[in-house]
Amino acid sequence: MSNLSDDAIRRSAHRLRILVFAAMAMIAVVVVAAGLNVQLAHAHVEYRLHGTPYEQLIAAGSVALLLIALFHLTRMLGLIAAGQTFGVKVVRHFRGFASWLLAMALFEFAAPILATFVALRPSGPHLVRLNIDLRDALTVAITLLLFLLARLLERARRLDDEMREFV
Amino acid sequence: MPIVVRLDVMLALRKVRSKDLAAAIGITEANLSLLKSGKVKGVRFATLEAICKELDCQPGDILDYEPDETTNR
Repeated sequence: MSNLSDDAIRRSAHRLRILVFAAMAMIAVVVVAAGLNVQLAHAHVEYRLHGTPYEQLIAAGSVALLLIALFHLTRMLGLIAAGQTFGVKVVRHFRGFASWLLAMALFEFAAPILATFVALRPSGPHLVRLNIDLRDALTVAITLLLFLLARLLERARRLDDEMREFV
Repeated sequence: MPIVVRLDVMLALRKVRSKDLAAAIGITEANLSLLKSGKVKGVRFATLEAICKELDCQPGDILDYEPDETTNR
């Protein structure tokens, strides 16, 4: 029974890993196509790389952070698919995934505000508009939840280690 | 640890080899060796039941409680 569920977990992790790789590839293709202004089939691809230089920088930065986060996720799923369900490295990569995702969410939230201040000219009063996207706040909340899950995974790893010492 | 495993004594009394017991109760020889040397944190009831059934003995024949000095203080 336990071996069956372990196998099911491994297969799910393997399938999910392929999906994450596909998502990473798709993100990379879309960003490159948008950057080069390439037309994919009959679709014209647009990404936020066509705004002001600050907007382009923020867009590129958030994509880079997302790809790093997804890379950690693929490493974690690869280890689970290899049978290390509660390994130390699994927990480490899960934390890595959560950290980079949080970094991305905070970057997307803070970078436009900073860019607005940087773009301001020092002459006279200005009106600064701050856009707080609910999606960004939700991403931060979800990543904080992922940190809790990472702690639970760490606890599960300790229990698993302890269980192995039972005959 | 004040719990002492006397499995080797029972194995000698029943003239059963570790290898045969391990195969009969479905655990590895390595794990049985760890159990014999007391280097495990615990024994599952299922394992204890299988050992008792195979060696025709009671759990008390395999496990002893010997309080050490630090426990008495």
